[in-house]
Amino acid sequence: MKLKRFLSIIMALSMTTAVFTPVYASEEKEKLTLWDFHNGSEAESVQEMVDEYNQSQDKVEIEYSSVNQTDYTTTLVTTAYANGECPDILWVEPATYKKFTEAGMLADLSSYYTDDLKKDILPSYLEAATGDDGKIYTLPFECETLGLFYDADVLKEEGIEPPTTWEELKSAAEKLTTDDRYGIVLPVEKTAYTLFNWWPFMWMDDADIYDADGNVTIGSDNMADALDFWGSFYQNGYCPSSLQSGPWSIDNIANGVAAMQIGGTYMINAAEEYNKDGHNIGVVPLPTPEGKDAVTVAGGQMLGVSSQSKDVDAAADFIFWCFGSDDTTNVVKWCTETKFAYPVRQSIIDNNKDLFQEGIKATFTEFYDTARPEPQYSAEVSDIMGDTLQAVMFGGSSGEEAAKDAQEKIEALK
Amino acid sequence: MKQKGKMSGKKMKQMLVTYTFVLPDFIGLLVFIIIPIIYSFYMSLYNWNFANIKEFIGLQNYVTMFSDSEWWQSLGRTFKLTLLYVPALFILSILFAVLINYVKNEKAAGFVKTAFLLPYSITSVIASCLWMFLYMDRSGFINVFLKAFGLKGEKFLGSTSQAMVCIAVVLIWINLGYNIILFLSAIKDIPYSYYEAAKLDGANSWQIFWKITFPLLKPTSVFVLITSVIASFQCLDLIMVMTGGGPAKSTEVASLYIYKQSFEMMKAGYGAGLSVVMFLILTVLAVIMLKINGKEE
Repeated sequence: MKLKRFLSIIMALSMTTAVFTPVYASEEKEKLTLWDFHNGSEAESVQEMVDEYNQSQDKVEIEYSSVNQTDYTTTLVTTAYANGECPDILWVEPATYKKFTEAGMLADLSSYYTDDLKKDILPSYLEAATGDDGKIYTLPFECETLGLFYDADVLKEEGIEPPTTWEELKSAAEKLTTDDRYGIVLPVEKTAYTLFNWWPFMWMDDADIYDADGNVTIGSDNMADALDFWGSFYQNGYCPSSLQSGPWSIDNIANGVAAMQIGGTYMINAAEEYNKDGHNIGVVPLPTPEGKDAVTVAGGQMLGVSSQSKDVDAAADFIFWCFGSDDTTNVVKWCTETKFAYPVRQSIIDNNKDLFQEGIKATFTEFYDTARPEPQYSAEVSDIMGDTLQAVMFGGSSGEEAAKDAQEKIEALK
Repeated sequence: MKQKGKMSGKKMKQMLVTYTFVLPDFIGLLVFIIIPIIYSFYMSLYNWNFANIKEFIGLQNYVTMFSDSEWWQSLGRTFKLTLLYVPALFILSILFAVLINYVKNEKAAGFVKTAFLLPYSITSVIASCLWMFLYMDRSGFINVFLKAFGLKGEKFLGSTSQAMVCIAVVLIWINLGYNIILFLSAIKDIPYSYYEAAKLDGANSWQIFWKITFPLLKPTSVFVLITSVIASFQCLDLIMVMTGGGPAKSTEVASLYIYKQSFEMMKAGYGAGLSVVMFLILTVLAVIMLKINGKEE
């Protein structure tokens, strides 16, 4: 009897749930996932965009997660893809673009670009988002360039002008290196960030990994000279061989670790905060070899959609809503408040010129047009370039030895 | 009268209880160790990039391995780490276990044991971050200490000749306490009458240790040697956090090379092949050590 009553109650509850389930299911939005590697204000900004998008429509709900950057660019996304669980929306860097596109991990976004948008995006950025097959796989939205940050008070004390040439930079680094302080901070580990800092120095000396015809030219004399220059800072002890704060942090200057630092637009906001507290951090274009033209590198992240996404249309709708629509609020906020970076859309640059003329930003804006897009090499070529830098930085190799060794290795990849 | 060959009900029940207790551990072993090893071998027969390329290539990955000079160099560095880590850990563990065994005050002994065991309780990532601060080349505590005594500061993690030693020191610091406890437990199991007899025969401390304590610690010694060799081969998180394999590849050990081939180069099949080879190397080393131990017994 008791069992019969128990079973009756269970059946009644099940039927009640069954009645309400269709109603509940019809109110559920389709869930899409977005993974990135941001923290602090950048993660907050992404969350705000996600919340605003979710509230603006009733079809799709984006679920946002932030993970460690190294894990994101190495193991997490690839293993998730292998398990069929890749997030629908991805943040893609120039360093991972080739890896993801060659593996077919990104969906073709060409059809989501309007003609106006294509014309509005700076050509080199649209090219960087386009694969070898002519399809556009990502949506670029920011441009981060590099300059030379310096502690103006320390340089003034030592009677040194901000360097403009390689000789001046080396001389300044030597004079500014004391028992308590290094002359300059440069990246030390074999990472994509170190390569990002290295590319403009390579280009300044008319060196490159390949020439315009695709021949391997990493073994050239110019490359050897550039490698010798880069390695000299480490070999002579003008820069630290290990860093407490990352090489992307202006804390290295603010805390007196070094008097100068190669850094990007993403350091501007923090530098200006320190300047409000009494520091005097300035920036100049990257010094060049005598008589050569100024060059800097333009990096910046992009948004993409996984080819495994169950709803590529919805995922694409979100990313173009964020950074590819006529409403440019999100882009301006991302590029000027959340961090500092230049938008890659000409219309946004034209309509917000005043924002790029304030403080340290004004200096970066002066040499903005000397920027070349961050190159996208295969993982093997990037690895060889990373090893080459490590060899001249810490391995005791000369630029010539390291360049020739790299030439052989890259030619062997063919 | 019970029939021959048929287990009694009580014995069956005992066996059932035994296997029930062992079952969770066995399932864990199967799911997290045995199946992944078999799957790794399966993966090693393919050219696979986690995504759009998966083609059967048989033993080609193993053929490629033989001509991969960077793999052999990383294996050489792994052996270097093993040679830096294992003997030092072994000697220090026995030494401190013997010394702690002499401490008669239980509270004092307990305090010392806890102090040694504390590093074992923190994660290797936190240990890495802690030691990175100590190793900093100007502001790090070790260099500040050296300079206070008029000595020259060292580059530590920034030096190709010192970086691997620095890694070995951290590994020893983390695992020393655990191995001291292992040896201490084994020492406590040695009957005191052996020491009494030796003292009556006029043996000094060194002779007592060498002739009585050390031989009777053989099973524990073999266990410590095998596990510490395995730990040195598996060292990855420490190196990734502290040096990333640098400077100039001086700390790029085999496990890190496998990680990079698998996830940075997206050569999952090749990485799996290298993992299988590393598994075989460790198995051979373990068998050799067990055989040596067996022969001597």
